Amino acid sequence: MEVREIFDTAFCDVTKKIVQLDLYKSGQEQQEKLGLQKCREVIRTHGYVNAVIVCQFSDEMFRYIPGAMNKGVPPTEEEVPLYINEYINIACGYAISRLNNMAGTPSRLSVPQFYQRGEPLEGDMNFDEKQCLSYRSRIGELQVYLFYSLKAE
Amino acid sequence: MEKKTILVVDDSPFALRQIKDLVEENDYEVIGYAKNGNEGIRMYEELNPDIVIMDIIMPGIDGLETAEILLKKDPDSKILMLSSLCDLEMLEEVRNMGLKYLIPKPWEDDVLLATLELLAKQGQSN
Repeated sequence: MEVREIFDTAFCDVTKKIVQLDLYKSGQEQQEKLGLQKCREVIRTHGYVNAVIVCQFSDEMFRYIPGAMNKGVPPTEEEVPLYINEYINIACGYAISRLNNMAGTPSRLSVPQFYQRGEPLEGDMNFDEKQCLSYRSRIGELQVYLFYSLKAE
Repeated sequence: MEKKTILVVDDSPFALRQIKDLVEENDYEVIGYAKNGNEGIRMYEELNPDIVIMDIIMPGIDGLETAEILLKKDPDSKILMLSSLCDLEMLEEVRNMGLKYLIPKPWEDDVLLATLELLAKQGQSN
């Protein structure tokens, strides 16, 4: 089971559907940027897939995504995190649903957390695997870091 | 013909906007919006909507727990569950509660509308 491929498909499909944006894979040199972008969204899973998934956005992507989800109208400052939350919620839910169905074992998602000022991540980050999906688009950049362990029943 | 009324319980303004724009073009009226389960329960009691569209993953009590509370208060309540997490286990959990419909996010508009229609007609033959 290729966790990386499933998340790649999820992010590409969902980004295309809800914000009308094509994502293209970046080169290797983009992959080690964790912590270099300020705007980050974190979602956790527990169950068969125990994971922390971190999405980092370039400033341009961070501005674009909520506006595109709101039919071209930039939301208020207070609402921006809610749109970003929903974006990662939908993308990760799509991926985790597929993994759950393939494994026949459930995992569940947390409510996403939004970090706008480059705060350090909280909680245990000790997992078996680490993957990075690094994308560019016509708007800006997105990195998706997958820290995960697959738990045998 | 009177429009069917809908209460949306979802912490996402994106979901609310998508739902509202879609259903109000199709003879429904969104009469309330709650951002969490507790608010949803309060608004259900105040507004008595025909249908509730409920997200599962929310801060505080989740949609499953909220739906369970609503069904205890009103066993005839018509609830359509939405979730980004839509695997077979989740579907079974929803069905075990006595609910019939779980739609994935992002949804297909025609699927959401068809499901609302089924839900609206539920119990009419009784």
